[in-house]
Order: sequence, then structure tokens, then C-alpha cells
Amino acid sequence: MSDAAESKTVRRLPGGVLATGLAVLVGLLFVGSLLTGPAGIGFRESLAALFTRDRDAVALIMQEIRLPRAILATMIGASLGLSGAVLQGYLRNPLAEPSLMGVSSSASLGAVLAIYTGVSAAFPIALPLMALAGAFAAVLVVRALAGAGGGSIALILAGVAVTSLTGAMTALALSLSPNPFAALEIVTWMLGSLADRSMTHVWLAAPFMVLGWLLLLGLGRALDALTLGEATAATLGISTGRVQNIAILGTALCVGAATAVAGAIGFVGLVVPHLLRPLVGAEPSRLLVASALGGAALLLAADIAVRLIAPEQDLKLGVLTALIGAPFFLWLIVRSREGLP
Amino acid sequence: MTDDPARLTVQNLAVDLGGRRIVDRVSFDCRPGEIVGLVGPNGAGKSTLLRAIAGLVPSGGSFLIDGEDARALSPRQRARRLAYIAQEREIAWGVAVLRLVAIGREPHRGPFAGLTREDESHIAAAMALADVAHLAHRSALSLSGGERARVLIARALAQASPLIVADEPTAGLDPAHQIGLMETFAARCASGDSVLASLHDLTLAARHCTRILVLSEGRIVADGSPTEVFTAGLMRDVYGVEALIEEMPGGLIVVPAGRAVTPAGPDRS
Repeated sequence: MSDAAESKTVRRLPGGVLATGLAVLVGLLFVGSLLTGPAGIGFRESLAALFTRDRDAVALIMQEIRLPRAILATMIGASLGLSGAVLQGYLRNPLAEPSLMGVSSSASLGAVLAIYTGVSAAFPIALPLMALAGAFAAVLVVRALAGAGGGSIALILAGVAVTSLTGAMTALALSLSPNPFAALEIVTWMLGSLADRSMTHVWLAAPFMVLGWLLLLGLGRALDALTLGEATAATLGISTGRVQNIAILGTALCVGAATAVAGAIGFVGLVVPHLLRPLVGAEPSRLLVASALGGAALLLAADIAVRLIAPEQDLKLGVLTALIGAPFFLWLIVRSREGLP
Repeated sequence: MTDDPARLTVQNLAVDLGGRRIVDRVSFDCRPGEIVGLVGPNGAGKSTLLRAIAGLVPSGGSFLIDGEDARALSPRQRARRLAYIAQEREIAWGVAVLRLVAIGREPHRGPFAGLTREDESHIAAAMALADVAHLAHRSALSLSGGERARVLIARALAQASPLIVADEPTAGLDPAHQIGLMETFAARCASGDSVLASLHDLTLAARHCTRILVLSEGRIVADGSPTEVFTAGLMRDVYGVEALIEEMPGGLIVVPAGRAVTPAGPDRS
């Protein structure tokens, strides 16, 4: 009896402890990511090379290859974790994740179209820009389909519709692709990778992501109120329409930018909020910062793993996250079917 | 405040949903300290009327809260005057009961402010009044139906709004919990607050409400004290049932005994 009562008690780590712990983890993995790569560079040497003004090979590798890769993994992971936490909170559905809004698949389609039409061969920057355009087009279509007062169910249905449509169009571009190299590049883009990214990608994605983070982080208390349902939240002074707009705009900004520079990376936005929810007492507002840090940590770890597991083969990051994420998803389904809390 | 401070004044309130008039030019007022029971058959428009007053569905006509046009209030201002208890007892996540009740303080908090001492004392008082203080650290998803209902009442009490609008707050509760809940409302109204609640249990309404509104086909067909409103004729006309109505210590007992011989119910003519 006392055991049962114990298990129903909500426990959570003090906010500062969890955030500090996750931040330290992100810091360690960031350094770990900097130290991982085919070129065997010593610990001191590699860190010193980050700050040197020399243009030798080690400095180039550290500053032009590994640093942007680690920064992008951190930013993209944080974007996926944060938007996953916001969308689960807004939709009050633990199965929600950024790709559900059609943002990732539409951004992928934009990137694929850039490759397919050959625009990206002429102007490399066109690829991320068209991916961003795809993300925003998705938001507009989803908003129009869901309607102003549509509520969360309409939003989910609209997101699913846009996701399947853009997925089909991506497949179409793939099968109509005129040359095999473009097809290979398209596939690479659909799978998600952080290999061979530069600081240009960092600077391109950062403004959108930071703006998206600021929008999403401001939703904490509104998400708490939505725990009680949309009607009750509205009578607590929360404008649910505004929350919906901010949630999808913020997701489009940061996940659109993430997909624009790294392709579609799934499951991080689904898994991370889940893993951390018990540690924050299930409170949606406390989950936001924790999920952003947790997402960054998970993606940094995954990106280190793809380089350690198959250094020669260029294992795709999105493949690895899906390999971890899909079984987790199944476990979630089985657990909810068993009716466990 | 004015000399005649009606807490809520509703005039010609009308709601159309899907091209159908659900609430038809309803007018009434509600004074401080009153517990107004809204009764009527299924589909009479009770929930829609309450949702309109809570600002959840668009409506015609006018209604004033404490003498001010409710539609002119911002959502936050309105939330400080009116707390709404939804019929669906929705709780999405297993947050601690204490944190759930604290959500009721939302309209009183600044943009990035934590809970103040005043917030804490409102939360503690609300939890004590709703008898959920002992559940403070329990997961909101581990509660029984009665506990869940009381926790959500505590959430609304913590909002400290002078008008509480509750949609079937006693549905699905056992008799002791039903009476306990009405007593919680009564305690709150003793300090000058007002409650407007839709109820299906007529005896509960008769014994615990200071006033009864009867809604039928979107219109108010009776408005008065329980003894004025609950008559055999009204029960026949509005509900289509024969009822036993007895004066007992503590108020009326209203028991539907069987269908009326000449069906005059509102459904399907």
C-alpha cells in the first residue's frame, strides 16, 4: 500500500540541478565531438588549434570542419528537443514531434527541389534557402488547413496531410531525377547528416534558430495552463490561438533551419521530451530548457557515434537517430497499450 | 463599484451554432453571495450558455461582469473576475497536484514572475477548502474521479475570481462528494463570491442553490427560489416527468417518479 502511494508521488529534480547537469553533459559531448574524426589529433593540440591564427592543416580541420559540425549538432539538437517539448505540450500528446507539423518533410522537399532543378549546383546557398522556404510554406498550408480556431486535432490532421503530400513529391523528384548523382544527393539529404558542413551553414541557420528558440521558450506558462485543456486555458487568460501560432512559427523557424543545413533528422524531438518528462515532474514549462539541452546532448552523442561506428562509410545521422528512435517509439506504444502510467 | 452591484448581468444573450439557435435571448442576473443552479433537460443549452458567459463561444446580446462589459475585458482581466470549471475534467500530464492548483494563479502573475507569497496563500486556502491539501504531491493522473474533480475545483478557487461558472461540477461524483462540493461553493459564496453552476441532480440543486434558473429549448422558463421553481407543473412541462416534491428539513426533495402521462417534453414533437 505504501509502495503504491509512493509511486504516485511526483518527484522532480530541483530545476537548477537538472539544467546544470545537462549543460555540463552538453559541454563534455561538445568537446568529445571536437576530438572525434579521422585525423588523429591530440587533445591539447586540437583544442589549441581552435584558437590559433595559423592556417596549418590542424587548425583548418578544427576550425573549418569539426567546430561547425559540433556547433550545428548542438544547435540542431536543441531545436529538435525544444520544439518537440513545445509541440507535445501544446497538443497534449506525447507522440507529437516536429516532423508531425510537416515542417521537416517540406524543408526536405525544398532542398530536394534545389538539387533536382540544378539550382543548388549553380548557387550552393540556394539549397538551405529553398529548404527554409519549404518549411514556411508548410506552416502557411498547415495553418490554412487547420483554420484559425481549429484546435489541436485539426492541426495534427493538417500536419499529417502536408507530411504525406511532401513525402510523395520528394519521392516523385527522386524517381524523375535526371542523373544518378542528383538522386544520390537527394537521398543523402533525406537521411540527414552533419558531415562537411561549414561555418557558413552555422551563420545561415543561427538567426532563424535563435529567433525560434526565443518564441518557443516564452510559451512555458501557457503550456502549463493547457494541461487543463484548451477551454480552461482560455478562461485563465491564455490566448490559445496565439499559442498555436507561436508554436508552429517557432517550430518552422528552428526545425526549418535545422533541416535546411542538415537534412531531416527524426525522433530526437520525440524521444528527448519523453526521457526528461519524469525528471521535471511532468511540468510542460520546466521541460522546455531541459529538452533543449537534452536534445543537444543526444544529437552530439549520435554524431560522435556515427563517426566512431563507421569512420569510413559515412553512416547518416538521421539513420542512427531513427535506429534508436523507432524501437523507442514501439516501446512507447506497447507501454501505453498495457495501460501503465 | 455601484450601489447595486450585480456580479453578472446577462441581457438578451443569444448563441447560434451551426445555423441553429442554441441559446435564445436569455436575460438574468446574479448577485454577490448567490449560488445559482442552472437546470434543464439535455440539449436545453446549459453548457452553451455557460461557455458563452465564460467567453468560449461567440454570442449576441450583452453581459456585464461587475458592471463592466465582459467583451471589452482582455482575456486576463476577465480571468481575474470569472473562473470556469469545464465539464470535461481534462488533465494532460501527471504533474503534482500542488502545481496543478497553482496554474489557477496564471492570470495574476507577471510575465516572468514566480509565485508570490500571496499566490502561495491563495493556493493553500483553495486546497484546504476543496479538501485536497493531503494530495499536494500526488500525480494528478493517479487521482480517483472524486479527487480529480476536487483538485480541479481547487484550481478554480485558487484563481480567486469573484464569479465561478461551473459546468456540471457534480457529474459522476458519489453523494457525499456532491454535497461536499456544494458546501465548498457555499463557503466561498459566504464571503461574497457568486457561483453559477449547471446541475442535473434536482434535489442537490434545490437544497444547495439559493436560486434556480430553468432552461428549456434555449430559453429561461423559470427563475426563482427552489420552492418557487420546482413545482409538479414545471417538472411535467419541462422534463416530461411526474415528480415527488417534498419540503424537508434543509430544503426540498425533488424525485422524478415516472414519465408524464401527456408527454410535454422538449424533445421531438
